[in-house]
Parts: sequence; structure tokens; C-alpha cells
Amino acid sequence: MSGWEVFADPSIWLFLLGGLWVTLQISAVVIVLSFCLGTLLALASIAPWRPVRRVALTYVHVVRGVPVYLFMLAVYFGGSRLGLKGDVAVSVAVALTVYTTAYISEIVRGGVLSVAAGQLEAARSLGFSPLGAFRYVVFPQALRAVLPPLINQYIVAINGTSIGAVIGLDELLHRSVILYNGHQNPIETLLVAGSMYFVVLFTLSRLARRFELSRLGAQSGPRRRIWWMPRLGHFGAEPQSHSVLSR
Amino acid sequence: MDYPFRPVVQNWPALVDGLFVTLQIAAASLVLSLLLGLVLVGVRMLFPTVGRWLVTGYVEVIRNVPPLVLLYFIFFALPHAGLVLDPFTSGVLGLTIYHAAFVAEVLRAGVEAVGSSQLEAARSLGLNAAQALRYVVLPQAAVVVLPPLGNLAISLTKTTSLVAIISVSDITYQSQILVSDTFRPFELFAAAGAVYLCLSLGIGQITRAAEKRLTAYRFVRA
Repeated sequence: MSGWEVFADPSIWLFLLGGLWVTLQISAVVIVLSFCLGTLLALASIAPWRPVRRVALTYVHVVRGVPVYLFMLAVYFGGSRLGLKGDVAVSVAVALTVYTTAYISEIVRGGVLSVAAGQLEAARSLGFSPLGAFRYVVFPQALRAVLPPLINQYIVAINGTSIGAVIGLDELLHRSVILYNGHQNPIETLLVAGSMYFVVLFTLSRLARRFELSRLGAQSGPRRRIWWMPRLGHFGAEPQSHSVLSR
Repeated sequence: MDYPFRPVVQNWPALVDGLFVTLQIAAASLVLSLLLGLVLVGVRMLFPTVGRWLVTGYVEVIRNVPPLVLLYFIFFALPHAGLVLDPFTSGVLGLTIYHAAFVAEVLRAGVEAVGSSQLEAARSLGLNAAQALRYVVLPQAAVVVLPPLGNLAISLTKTTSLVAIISVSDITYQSQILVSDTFRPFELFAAAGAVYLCLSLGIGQITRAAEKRLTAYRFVRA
């Protein structure tokens, strides 16, 4: 197989890994922005004011019905027409953020609504302000519950960065196209690039699996404590390891 | 005379042609991915060890690789292995392989949700296997499976826009061509986006109507 000989050269690997690094950078920006905007939008969609809810839900429903590729084309070609100097990375990040925000907002909204109303009432009766109760009581519980779908949505967003290759974003898929056009070995190159995507995305989807509440054991406390997760009385009561018998 | 959406109004036949291609490709890959997903679940259940291993591997690999990489592989790499497919076939093949993994997961969840005790209970009441499947298991599984399958159909319809990249002349492709002719990206992409939005909303309505019909027995009064 002559197509594999190219990969004996370490600089080829550095070239592709550099593309993966761009993919990860863009998706990191998208993840952070869409989480912040999505949470705000989720708040707007459960706000006590009807017009605000309307606007938020309309945004969500419209954006979820349109392919992300069209957003990218519109932002990239439309942006350069508006004199925004068509920067590819910015266009891809903006398009993916607009798209992902709608999904994140629905996920967060579902999570917030799944937290029992008694939690909010209890926090309010303890003297929390409405926002304080949300920030310290409802939101952490909601976040814990929606972590798996949130991570799955980020997998979709990272998938989406590969579409940026089409409008010339210098990421992993784009670089592999450059590579195989030079060496005429698309099978081998795309297998390598696909494996790189797989390693990243598979790790993330395992992580999502790990946070599923059913696996953590919602009633009995988590089987495995996750060291960086805040401990919550509601989900993560410490298992009684020192029972009466062991004393 | 110029007016808003003029390129859309003037070029509507091209856009409608694109819409038909989009519909064809979506329908073909929806049907095929349902079939392939069904086969995957069947293999998984018939061969508990090897089948489960193979199907899980398939699902995990496909779900964790971008669909565009799959399309590129089929369209640009397979010819080097001697398999030349035209753009339309490549697109249908790629979308089918990609979405069948998701279909398999949804169907598996549906089967698991019903559970074997329902089948056993129906059999012990004297229904034969086919009747038990027809009147007891399938109606319950359909209710579980329908909403996620509807979402999957919407996602598939949107993902068909990627076949424009491998030069299938769907509505995204047509609007791109028209943009390069007229330099009016906003109007043309908005029109294409509106078409996708209508398709998504339509599929959502169909799913909800079917769901209502399947769960109608819950609201029947004695």
C-alpha cells in the first residue's frame, strides 16, 4: 500500500494534528458562547413575560429547522457582502454558535423545568431572591441533569466544524483534503482524519455516558464520585461507607 | 427594476428543481436508513454476542465521525478503490449509513422499553406469536419509537444539505449557484432556509398527528 508511506513522515502528522487543534479551538469558542447564550435564551423562554417567551421560542423553532450548512454559507457570503471582510474562522464560529444556541436553550429549559417546583419554593422561603434561588438552587440541579444531552450537542457542534472545510476553514478535514490531493491517497488520509475525529468525539460521548443520572444512581448516591463535580445533596449524597457493622 | 427577493422570484424554477432533488434524496435515505436500522437491530437480537458486538461497533464509529467525512470518503476515496458512484447515489449511501446508526439506537430503546414480559403475557393469553407482535408489542413500541424517529427524520432532511458539497443539485446547491450569479446571498439562502424550515415543521406535524393516533386508545372512554 503506497498510500500509507506518506504517514511515515512525522511532519504529515503534525500538519493534521494542527488541523485538529484548529477544530478544537473553534469548537471551544462555540461551546462556551453557545452555553452562555443558550442559558440566557432558556431563561427568556421561561420568563414571566409572554412577548419575551414568544421571541425566544420563535428563535429556537426557526433555527432548529434550518441546516447548519446554510447558516455558514449565509454568514460567510452575506458577511463579506456587508463588508465584514469574510473571515472564515469567525464566520464558522458565528454560524455554529447561532445554531447550537437554539439546541442548548431547549436542553437547559428542559432541565430547569425538570427540577421540582418545591426546590424553588423552598429556596424562596429561605430568603433567596428569585435570581439567587435560580443561580444557587435550581440551576446546579438542572445542569447536573442535562449534562449528557449537553455534551451530545457539543459533539454535534464539533461535527459541524468539519463543514467549515467547505468554505475554506483550515481545520482537520480541509488539511486532509490538501494532503490527499497532493499524494492521491484519499482512502488512507480520510481514514486517519476520521480516526482523529473519532478519538475526540468518542471520548466526549463516553463522558456523556458517565454523567447519565441512571448510571450515577439518582437515589442511592453516585457509585463513583466525580472529583470536579460540585457535591449536591439532591443527587450526590455521600454513600454511607461506615455503616454500623464496620464500627 | 430591483426589489427584495428578486433573484428568488426570477429563478424559482431552479429552486423548485432543487427542492425536488432534496425531497428525493431525503425520502430515499429515510426509507433505506429505516431498513438498515431494522436489519442492525435484528442482527443484534439474533446473534447475542457477535451481532451485538458488531452493531455496537458500527453505531459507535458512525456516531463519532462527522457525516461530511463519510460523504467525502464515499465520493472521493472509494473511486480510488475502484468503486465509482454518481453524486446522488453517494449522497443517499452516505446519509443512509450515517442515520441507520441512529435508527438502530432508537429501535433498540423501543424494544427494550416494551420488555419481554408483555410478549409472554400475550402468548399465555392464547395469542399466537404474530398476533402478540401485532396487537401487543408493536403498538407499544411504536409509541416509544415514533417521536425520536420524527426528530431523526427532521435531522436527516437538514443533513441532506451536505450533499450539495459533493455536487448533487439539491436546493442548497441551486441557491449557491444563484448566489454566485446574482451576489444576493441573504435572500437566496433565506429562501432555501425557509424551505427547509417548512419541511421540518411539516415532518413535526406528521409525527405529532401519528403520535396522537397511536395513543388514542389512552383517551377512549368505556
